[in-house]
Amino acid sequence: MIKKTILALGILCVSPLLLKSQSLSDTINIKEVEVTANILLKKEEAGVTKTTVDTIAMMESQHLSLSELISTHTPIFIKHYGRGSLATASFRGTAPSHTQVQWNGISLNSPMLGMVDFSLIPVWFFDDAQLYHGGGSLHLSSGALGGTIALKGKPMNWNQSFSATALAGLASFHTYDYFTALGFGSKKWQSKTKAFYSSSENDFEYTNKLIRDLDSQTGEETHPTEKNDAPYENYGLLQEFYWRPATDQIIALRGWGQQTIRTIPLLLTDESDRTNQYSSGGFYTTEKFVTKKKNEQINKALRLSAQWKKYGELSQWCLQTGLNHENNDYIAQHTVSGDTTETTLNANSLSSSWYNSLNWKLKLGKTTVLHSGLDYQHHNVHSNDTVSKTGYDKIQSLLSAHAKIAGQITDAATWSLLLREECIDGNWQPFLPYLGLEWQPLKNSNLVIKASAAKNAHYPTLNDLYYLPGGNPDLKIEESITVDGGPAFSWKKNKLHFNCSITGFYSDVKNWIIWLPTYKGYWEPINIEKVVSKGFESNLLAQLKYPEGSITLNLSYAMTHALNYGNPINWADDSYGKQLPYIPVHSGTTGTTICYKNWELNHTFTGYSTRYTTSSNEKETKRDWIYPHLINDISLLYRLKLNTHLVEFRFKVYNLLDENYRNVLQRPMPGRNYCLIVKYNFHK
Amino acid sequence: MKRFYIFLLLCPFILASCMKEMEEDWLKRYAEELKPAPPGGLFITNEGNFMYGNASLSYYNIDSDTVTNDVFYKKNGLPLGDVLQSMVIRDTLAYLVVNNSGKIYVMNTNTFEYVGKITGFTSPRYMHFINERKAYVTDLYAKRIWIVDPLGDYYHTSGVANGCITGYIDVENKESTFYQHPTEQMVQYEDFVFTNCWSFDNKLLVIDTKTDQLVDYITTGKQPSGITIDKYNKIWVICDGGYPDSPYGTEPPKLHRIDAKTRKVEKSWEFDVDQWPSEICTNGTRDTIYWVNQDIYFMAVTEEKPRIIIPGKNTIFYGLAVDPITSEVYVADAIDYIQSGIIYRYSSDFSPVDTFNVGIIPGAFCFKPKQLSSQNTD
Repeated sequence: MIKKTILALGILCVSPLLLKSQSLSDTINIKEVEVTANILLKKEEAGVTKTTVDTIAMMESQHLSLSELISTHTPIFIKHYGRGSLATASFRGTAPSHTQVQWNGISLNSPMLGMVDFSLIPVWFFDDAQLYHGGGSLHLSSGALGGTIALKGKPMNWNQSFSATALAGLASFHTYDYFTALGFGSKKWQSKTKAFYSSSENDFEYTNKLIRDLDSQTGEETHPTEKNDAPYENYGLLQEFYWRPATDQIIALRGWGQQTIRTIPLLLTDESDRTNQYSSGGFYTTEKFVTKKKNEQINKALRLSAQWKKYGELSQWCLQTGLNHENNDYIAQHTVSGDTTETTLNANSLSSSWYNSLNWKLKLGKTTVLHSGLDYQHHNVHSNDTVSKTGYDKIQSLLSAHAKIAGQITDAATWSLLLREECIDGNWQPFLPYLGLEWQPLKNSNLVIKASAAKNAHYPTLNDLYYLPGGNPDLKIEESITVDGGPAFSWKKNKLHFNCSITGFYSDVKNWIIWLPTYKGYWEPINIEKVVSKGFESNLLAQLKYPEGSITLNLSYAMTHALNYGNPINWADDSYGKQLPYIPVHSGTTGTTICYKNWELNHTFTGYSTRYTTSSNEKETKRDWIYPHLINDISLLYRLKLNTHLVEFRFKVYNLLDENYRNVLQRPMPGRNYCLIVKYNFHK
Repeated sequence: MKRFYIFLLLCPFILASCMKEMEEDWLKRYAEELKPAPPGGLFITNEGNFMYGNASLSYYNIDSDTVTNDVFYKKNGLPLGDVLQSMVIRDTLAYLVVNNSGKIYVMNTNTFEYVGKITGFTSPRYMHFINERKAYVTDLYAKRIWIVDPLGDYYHTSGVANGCITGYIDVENKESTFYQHPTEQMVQYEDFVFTNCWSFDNKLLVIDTKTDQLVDYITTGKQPSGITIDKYNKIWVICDGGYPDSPYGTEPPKLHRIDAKTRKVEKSWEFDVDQWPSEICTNGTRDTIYWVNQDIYFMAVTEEKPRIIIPGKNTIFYGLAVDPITSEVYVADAIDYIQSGIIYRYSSDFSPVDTFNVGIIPGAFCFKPKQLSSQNTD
């Protein structure tokens, strides 16, 4: 029974992988499994809108960061400040702190900022990314008003004795990437080691049309050609040990260390390092009166986790403890006239978060499952700027308990009810319930209709409460009521497989927290009375198989209205009922893969509609909005397979049509650029 | 089915081809929409959001009560940059100090045409003319006051007026553990320029314009945010007192009256600790001072008790100016700081006259003189 359970779980997890990429070598060697309508009708997570980033996308993005994976393969909006720079996510129109990211159950969100910098998470370190949309995220944790992204390794293959993978990438702008993975072990234990080193001068050239020089004699206008000054270096090591002390138990130890050093480029309009010198003029200013500015960010992270799982005939236990230690430095310096370098900002933020959880699952008869869990988190943070001498030290503890019951109402309907209660620093928080239903209206059909309703809450981050200057200890908790639902349909005939889902959502968020500038000269967080996020998400997967390959089309589209219904500040406030800044109404991606023998051609398209930069959604000037972002990438892969050896050559072209686009005001983005990747894999 | 697939494959390419036009449109000039600015108007500098680069300049025709927003961008197809801090007019040229872009743009005040720039600053704040070929520029982070030649290699044939930095006055305070001195606004008495040091500071620096040297300082309350000088050569300094829990310390905000000649504080007024006074200025005859402290206050320079003249119901006033000719009062409201601000215009007896929308975070005003003069207007 235990073996069957483990096998069933394994099959369930890898079945999409088998469906979409039989030809990939590092999948687990088990028999192909056909997807049937029963898989659509979920029991334990009834009503949850969950999407899994497809395996082809994961393989294609192995050398990239999570920001690139999510932005090009899901409808989640990623706001990135340039290549290699900060990237934050907006899930269903919510704020960056409303998207939780978990790595094997450990939260990666900073307790100080509440958000995750997606550009710092390498895809190489995980094999599976699942998105829990809206209220469904309560199954993992509270606080994710938009949703949760759960990152995991693939299920352990206990039959594998040795595997090795090496990947090297050479890309435009002096970018070099090296990745290795080594796995070995026996049926009792397994070890997986992954490491990467990535560096880039990131010095793409562009004509800066936001600066104009005037020739003093002729009046001729020219725009300077500049190079992006944003080099970065990123390296990390991941070590995982798995041990089966008994056939029904698994102990997993994981450690992830990483360091990133990157230069933050100046805004396009910055001319502090430029002089008015013209070849045609006799201008007498000298280079000595210029200011060289440098902003550098150093991020260090150490994440450790220990997990014990026991599979019983009727019950399962999971005990986990983990540590997330992050040390971030931000340094702003300038040198005037080659004189002494002055440091204007030297901010350090140090956070140590300890996560503990105990989860228990019990089968009650054939149709009902009971699930309960207890979580304890402890955060210790230190924030300090040595120049302004501001900072704070705080400790925060969170205790959370949840219980879930799920089961079948009839053969064609399932339900799940989850209740969560939390206590932060001794203060009880709002009670958080979730109810989900799924229904198969037509017998023997592959159509399922799902619906859910949930209440969620997000506690202000430690910076929201205590940052100096501006922290507001009087902030209220953000609370949301979310309902979502819609049909999911699967169809298969001969060699054509078709899968689609549409989910409508409506989320009412009370006390939304936003940081705004003040007349005091610094920013302060305040609560907006109400924000409504509504719209729908849709996914479509179509796959046509033929003897020597396949064609796969993967489409995702989301329409998101994130509207401010806060009390107007005064009669002139025009933000009421308007879309929140930087949230696109329309976002979508397409991924097309054509496989033929050993060749694979892949095309991805990412599109975001207009984003406003003002709360009143003005279009008075061209800087009040960012025009639609429509980018095409293409790659060609060739596989060379010799017994257990596999070599892959992939050539990628980013921004195929050489578009001149922006993601954030004043931040340059690269034009067409290239990448060559060679990957070697061996396993036995 | 095949046709459907081909259509789907081509869709992204068709959509993407629209982007190039949008990029060009972003930089398009709208010069034809702009009429030349008549004398006697009012410029409003809109800071924009820090790190957004969306600063803008509005022009208000006082006679016709009409406003034209973003005149610099519309005329030149060129964004001003990040945080338009202040503006000063000299003859027909306006000098626009763009704080977080390290530059000063030079613009023709009649046509709004971009005619030059001065670059290389660290974090410029305000500009003050000493004479036609010399001006001071204060700086938040440079620990020096820049000396610039505003006209540089001005060529009458091309009309280009690229200025340049010619030197600097060292104002570093090596004795403080805080980052000092960050210099701000300037007023002049005889050959001496006085500048207030706001962030984590409490000094008024005195600069000798003949030698370009720091010659003296006056200690004020914590964080002097603004200064002005009246007809009796009294310098009025408003201090915000610092923010709660500041490592520099917090104290009740203050208003000082300082004699420019003796450099002594003659009188001080103290505000409640939770208040935040700012934006001090005078009227045209320089016999009355005005400031913002949630409401708008004014006080004759010979009096000692201020009065509320404009209550600030549900409004956080961010900028203030008084027409030097008519003594009409202009007040800026930044609303939520991420949308177009509003300007309220009041008559000299404080009756509402007009309201109009401008750019994001309207912070300062600059009156365009009716007649050209060689005096500063800021």
